[in-house]
Amino acid sequence: MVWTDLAVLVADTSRVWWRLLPQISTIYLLGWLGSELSLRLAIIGGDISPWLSLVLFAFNFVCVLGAAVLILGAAGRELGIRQLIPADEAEQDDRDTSITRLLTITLLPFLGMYAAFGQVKEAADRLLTGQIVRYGVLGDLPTINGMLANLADEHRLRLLGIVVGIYVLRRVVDRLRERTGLRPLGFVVVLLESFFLLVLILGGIRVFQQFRLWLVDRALVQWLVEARDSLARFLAIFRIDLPQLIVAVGQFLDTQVWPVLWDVLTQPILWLAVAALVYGSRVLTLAELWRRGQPYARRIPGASVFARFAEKRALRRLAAQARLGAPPKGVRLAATQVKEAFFGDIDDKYLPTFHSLRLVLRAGVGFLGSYVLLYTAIVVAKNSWTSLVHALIGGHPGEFWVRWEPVVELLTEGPYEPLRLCLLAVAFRRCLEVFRLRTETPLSFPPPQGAPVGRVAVAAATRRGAAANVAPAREELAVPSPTSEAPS
Amino acid sequence: MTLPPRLASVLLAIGCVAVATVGLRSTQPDVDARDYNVQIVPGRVGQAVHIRGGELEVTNVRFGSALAEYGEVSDRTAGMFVVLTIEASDTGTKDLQLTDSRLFSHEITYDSYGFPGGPLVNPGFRSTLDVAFEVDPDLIDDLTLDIYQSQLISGYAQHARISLGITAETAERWRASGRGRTLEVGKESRQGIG
Repeated sequence: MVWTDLAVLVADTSRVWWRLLPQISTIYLLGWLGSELSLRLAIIGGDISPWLSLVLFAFNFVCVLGAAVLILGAAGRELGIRQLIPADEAEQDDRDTSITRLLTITLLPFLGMYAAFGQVKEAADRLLTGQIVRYGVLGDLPTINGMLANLADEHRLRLLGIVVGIYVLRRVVDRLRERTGLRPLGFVVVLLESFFLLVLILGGIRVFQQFRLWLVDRALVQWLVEARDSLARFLAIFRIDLPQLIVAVGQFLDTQVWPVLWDVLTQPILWLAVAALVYGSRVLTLAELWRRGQPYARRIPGASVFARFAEKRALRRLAAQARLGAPPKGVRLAATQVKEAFFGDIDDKYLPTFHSLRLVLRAGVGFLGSYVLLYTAIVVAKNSWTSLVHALIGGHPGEFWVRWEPVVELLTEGPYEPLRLCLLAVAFRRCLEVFRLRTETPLSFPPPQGAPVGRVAVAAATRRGAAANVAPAREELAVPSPTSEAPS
Repeated sequence: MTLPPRLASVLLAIGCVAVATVGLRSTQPDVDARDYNVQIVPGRVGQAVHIRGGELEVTNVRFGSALAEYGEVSDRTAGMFVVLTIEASDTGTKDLQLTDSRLFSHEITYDSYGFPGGPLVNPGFRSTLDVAFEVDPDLIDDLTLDIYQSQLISGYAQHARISLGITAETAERWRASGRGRTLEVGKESRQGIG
């Protein structure tokens, strides 16, 4: 029931946040400090080269993401998310032991989220503003935006070469890291990944804009316009103003439907899916198996899409050998290696992200509704707090905000970002509980020591919701319930 | 009548999303709105307002159908001109720059007729200047002056919003006062605050 989920999410989030407040506040502050410092250095680095500026700018995201991942990890530990995996299944994923590995795996989806929800653009604007303040509007030193726009406008092949080159370099360094086990290489991979994504996003936007302009001039688009006009002339017979209708429908979609879909539904759900990646492939695999109603013990290593990359690679090799006989040699071996180098990323990052999203979406409408409500409540509180802070500081000229922006951002974001991350961890844990309860009757593994926060609220809420086929509390899991067995 | 649990869950979830939508829409800043990222400093004609370390006052409102400079008609309109006399004193330590202005009448916005749209005063000085706007005579009720400094880099900025005191009831009298009238637009004058 929605009320149960809501009670669990509210109680657990507030308790985890309160218990970890000193720890997560410190991590957040360090992330903020690193991010602001690298942004300032990126502005100064522009004096030497816009490429150096871009590298430092990429480091800004590494700091932000690093803090987010660490906070999610801390909240996950407090909630005992990893302990949900039975001892015989608790094989270590390399993301558990290496923060750089975890960062490389999660950087792409996290940066994708930052880009999709405007945070990359926001940071790029801050960098541009800083460079304008430093060089002046008419300054002749090239900015990052100017440089990438120039590449996209006049040297598209060079831009493509740079993108492919960075990608290959990153894969090579990643393989080197895998073979040598050198941890500093992991950090280089993270930085290269961030740099690669920023070049792709910032340069890609320009290429996309040019493509749109090019498309508008094509005969095909003119035919479509002509077809629309013909239809409009035809509909005019029935006194239907087609252009007006299109504008009205477009406006309705743009102002009413899209904000609901994007800000209210998509954003919280995508963040939850991305946050789930932090907890490791084992957790996701288990969740997937719970969702499907398969006992975890029947899991075959490598059979799941969430299996470790190395397992899948080994399995693929075995399957290929079984199918084709001897392993590939010569050119075919090289082709296999190249394919592996390029498409290994899809296995490593894109597929888990996609499946993580699929998983979250199947947690049930009741859970999703209450999670969306709570997530939005945090955003609403942050918006209101930001307005209040602005009103207290009062209106000032632009230079004031450039100087004080880091502090203002800390004041407005600081209290809410750790809370939001705690909610993501709690929501994912709740997701796992929902799956487990749909497929298992007795409690196979006890709740971790010190983990069950929000017990009282959960138990009380669950007693009300148990009759309505909802996930009961952790301590009630031992009690077989006929209603909890049926998948909803 | 009781609803099936699944249907009840779906309805409650929809309710949650609806509440979330309303909450978010009511607190999310509208970037296209006039008041986006703006601290409004309200005022009315004949009343000084404190803005950006100085003082600003609209001392006179005139309506007419032509503008004149040094006694020569410079512009005519089929609509109507509104000329506001603005006095600004810089009591701070930095220049008081409020060179952008516009008039609002409900949803309609009228940009200033010519440049500058407001005063630029040095510390320790007072400046008086006339700022003209061309308006639709039928849409002048609730006219409000919005005066500010637009910048390439902007943040949460101060805008003075001076109500001209024209209501739907008094609009006709204002229109009548301007018909066939030529308005002399004075040049900016400066003097020390003393």
